[in-house]
Amino acid sequence: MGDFREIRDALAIPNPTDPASVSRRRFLTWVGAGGASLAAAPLLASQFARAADFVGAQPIGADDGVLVLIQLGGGNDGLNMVAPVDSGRYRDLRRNLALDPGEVHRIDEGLALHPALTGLKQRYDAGEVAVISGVGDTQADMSHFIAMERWQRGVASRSIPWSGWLGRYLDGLSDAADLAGVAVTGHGVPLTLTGRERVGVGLSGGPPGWLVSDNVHERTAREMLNGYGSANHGLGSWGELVADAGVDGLRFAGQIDSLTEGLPEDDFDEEMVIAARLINANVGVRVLNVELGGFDTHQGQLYRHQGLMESLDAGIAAFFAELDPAYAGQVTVMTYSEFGRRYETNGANGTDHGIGSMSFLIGSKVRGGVVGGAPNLGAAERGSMVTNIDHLALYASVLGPWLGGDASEVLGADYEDLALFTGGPGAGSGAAPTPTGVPMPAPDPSAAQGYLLISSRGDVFNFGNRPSHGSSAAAEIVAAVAHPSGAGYWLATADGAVEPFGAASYAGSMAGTPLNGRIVDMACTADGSGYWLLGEDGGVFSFDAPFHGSTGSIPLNAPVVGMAGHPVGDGYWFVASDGGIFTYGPGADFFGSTGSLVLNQPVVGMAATASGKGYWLVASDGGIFAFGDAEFFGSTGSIPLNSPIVSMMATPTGKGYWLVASDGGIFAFGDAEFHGSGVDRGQRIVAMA
Amino acid sequence: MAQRGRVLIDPDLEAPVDRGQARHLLRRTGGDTRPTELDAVAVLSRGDAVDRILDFGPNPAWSPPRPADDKRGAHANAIAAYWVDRWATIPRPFEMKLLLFFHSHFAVHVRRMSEPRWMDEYLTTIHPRMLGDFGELVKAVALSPAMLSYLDNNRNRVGRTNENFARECFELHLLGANTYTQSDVAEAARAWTGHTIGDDGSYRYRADWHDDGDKTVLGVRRNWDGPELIDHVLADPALRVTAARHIVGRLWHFLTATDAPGAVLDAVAQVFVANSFQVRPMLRALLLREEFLTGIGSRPIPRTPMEYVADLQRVTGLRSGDVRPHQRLRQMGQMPFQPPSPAGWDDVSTFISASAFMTRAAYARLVAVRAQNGTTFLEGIPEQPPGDAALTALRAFGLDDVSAANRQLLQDYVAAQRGQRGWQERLNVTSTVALSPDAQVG
Repeated sequence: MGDFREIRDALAIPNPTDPASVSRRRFLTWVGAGGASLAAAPLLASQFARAADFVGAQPIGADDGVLVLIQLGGGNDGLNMVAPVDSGRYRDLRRNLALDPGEVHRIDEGLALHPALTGLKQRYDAGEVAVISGVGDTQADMSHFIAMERWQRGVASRSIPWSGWLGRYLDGLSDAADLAGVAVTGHGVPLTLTGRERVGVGLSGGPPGWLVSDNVHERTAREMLNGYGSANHGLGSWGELVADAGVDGLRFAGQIDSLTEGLPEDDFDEEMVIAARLINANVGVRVLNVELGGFDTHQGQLYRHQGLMESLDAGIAAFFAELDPAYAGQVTVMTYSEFGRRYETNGANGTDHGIGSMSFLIGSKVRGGVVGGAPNLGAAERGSMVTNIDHLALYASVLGPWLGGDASEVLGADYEDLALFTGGPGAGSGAAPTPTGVPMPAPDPSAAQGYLLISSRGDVFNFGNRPSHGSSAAAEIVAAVAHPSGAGYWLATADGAVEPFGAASYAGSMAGTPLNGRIVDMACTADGSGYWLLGEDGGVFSFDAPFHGSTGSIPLNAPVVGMAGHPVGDGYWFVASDGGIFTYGPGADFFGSTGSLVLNQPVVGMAATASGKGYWLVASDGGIFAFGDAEFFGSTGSIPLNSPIVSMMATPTGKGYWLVASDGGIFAFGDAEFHGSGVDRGQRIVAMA
Repeated sequence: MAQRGRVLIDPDLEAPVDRGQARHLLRRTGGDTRPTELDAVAVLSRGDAVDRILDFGPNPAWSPPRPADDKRGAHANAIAAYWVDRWATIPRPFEMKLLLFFHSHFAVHVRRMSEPRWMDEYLTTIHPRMLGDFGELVKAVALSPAMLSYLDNNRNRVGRTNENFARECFELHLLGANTYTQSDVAEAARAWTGHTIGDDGSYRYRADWHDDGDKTVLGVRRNWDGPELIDHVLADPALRVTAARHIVGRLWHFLTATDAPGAVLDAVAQVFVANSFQVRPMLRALLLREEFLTGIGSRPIPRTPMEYVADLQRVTGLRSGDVRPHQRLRQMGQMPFQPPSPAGWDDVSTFISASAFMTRAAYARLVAVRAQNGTTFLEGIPEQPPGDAALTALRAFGLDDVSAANRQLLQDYVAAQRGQRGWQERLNVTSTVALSPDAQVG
């Protein structure tokens, strides 16, 4: 518990800003920019005396979605919140921490809700709960601080300045109430709700007693303080602002007080009821953050997790009981935690920090069911559930469809909509057809509409509607990789210099560092925040990307020629010219190689499938070798080529690929479309993106 | 502390400060504006008044609490409590306001302090160097485990560079934005490789992590090591002016909540450079500027939360153990070791809001209750006529310059409430004066 509080406090930004201050701050910034005198400030400050009763109020629009985010601090054991309770593997791994199959609430996909989640089970049966299975961070970290920071920050690109994902959403609202973002907690505003321009309002359980009491002396003291609002202080514009904030504060105290009357005693229940009342008050709240801590169950897990699940269930029930039914079609509740826990118990009847976990999405417009299927207990990421749904894809699927925000702008990349809602916010049931299958978080589909060819001189040729973001002046470009968003790319030279374009950001290079072998390829992380360079000796250099190993110190039979990053996990593969495969890190499993075959022509490149559960190798004659879930769609192995094949790229669906020859010739297979080929004579194509 | 080089200051050092200037100088430097200190400063010349404020000699030894608890949050609380106590009780309180400036300038966050002792080591690194050689200060902070951890240089190694520190050092600590290129940052990051934290939690230089190749930084190619870059910036004829203007600008903004006028930047940066980046002569020049003493820098601005809680403790005589300011500073928006970003605390406007007022109101009431029950603060006022009682209270707060309107408001309040059943004059006067606009700006 103590740990959790510390983490929560450390991540909260102590900025108890209220509507007035946010707006005032904006005003002051404006004055500064215009070079005008601050003496004008009091005039605008008076605008905050609005007709609405509530300080900074503005009604919720009829089509506005509201999100209540429940932060489960400490690392929630998703595997016991939604358990594959009938799996023998589950019982083997969890042993005495396994849930009793006779007590759980069975749902779909062989999964069951924790016995304490009785209210949620009813909502699930009503089709109002989605279980987001295997949700996690593709660059997971097992530190509470770093993991929670990454969840709260929610960025695909580190180039987005320090801020939280819902804070950036608030920044993007053009006409929002000053109370649009609220942290219902006495512990400051979390990073989640901290934008660059707007910061959520932090509400503690209630105002200081003496500001709302009926005691005659406290009342007359408040009247005296109100007098400062109209006095002439001779303190200049700042003094006027301070005095006005005092008057607003006295009024605000009374309003907050009315929200906290007759609350249940348990903290989490209380905060969930305040959240519901804030929505009912119709003052323009769009996103709320509520916290429930204590999930760091390193010991005594069965008992402790039981209590936590009871609290969660009760808090959600209290919230919906308090929520005005008029808003039922506009409110969604979402849970998250910084990580899940290990499969196996530790020595103290608990579990240690893991990776993937489970999230709930709850509301009348939520498309009920299990998203992502039951966890595959045969696979493990650092001993725990594999991340198969990127938390950023979950954010994107809520930001756009539910909150009407610009997910791409907020997160810094595009993600495929997980189709979590039956309809947009508003009255009515919003029934819509159920989608088939569960989409993986995937790159911008527009990336499929074309391709880029990169020459050794650094020229970038675009085909289809794939835009070029610029060419490099560097000599001897050898590799390129597209940013996962499709809106940018990196180019690398043989000596390890790296140049970013578009959405790709620079994270370092080997320029100026002597290398044992020339750089031959590069790959980027699943979220595009970093990349690896690959040397011909099998040396791997990581830049804001995890290093899992290399063959840099091992003599190889054949030089290394190409690499691929895992599309979901943070591992990578690379391949030697003899078709030998080297696998490193989470997800990058071995699915086979041509290492034992005698090849007609050397292997020159590789590509991973969309799931990361397979890969293709391509040889210089265009021969294709498919492994794992990679399918064979054709090759040029039997066609005489003018120029050798130098690279390949899979389509985002994994149902096709392109091969490119050094003269720019393109060969498209499967669902890969042909958008043109060929480049100027004298240009040698080295890569494709 | 030795001063080297020429000292360039244009105002009339011999001119006497008037009472208003003395009050402004003291208040803005986090000092005591009650009659005794005000009387002592108001008779001095401008030069002597500023020298007195900058003379930290009379202050007791710096001895922050050692970590008694293995939790970083608890240790941050203990340091905050010590900070406020020291601010409220030492004879030359500017020392603690200046420490706040440097903490904001070289921001670090408790979130990354996996060893609680890094926090007091960090402050103890800054404290003795605040008025001395700025270059030595930047270098010492750069190699403190607190900074190494906060800006990730502990993970910066050859072949896996992390640019976080290299960038922020240029942008925030030394030069300011748009004065260097991305390539400078990438190359500087290589220079900073190997400066990390050892297994014992102390600074460690790892030669095997250091990039020994040549790097081109700010136009010079050589085998740079990180700290040499700081020396280079502060020695290069062009870069040192940029750096001086950056630091002076940050300091001016911290002290006045305004952007520095060009003349101030020019002149004070020149003093900084001429004095080989000694901080004391630069600060002295800044505080003696006419723009600071009587111009735009003398307009009232909001007191930051740290100043506010320290001032309430100073005037009432309460200690941190009595009122636990660290429990409120988070909500007020300025808890040590919890700056909102690597750029430190934001503009003072972020501290003014309705909910911030509620937090201040809760704290002021607590202070008033404790002062009434545990101190002699305002003990004589119930026997004085309302007008005298109001004046006595305002003087005790160091606010004897309060407007006639606000003084009348207080006097009328006392006059109206006296004789009412259950009236507690000291409690209510302390609360309402502490929450006056006058007590919240300075």
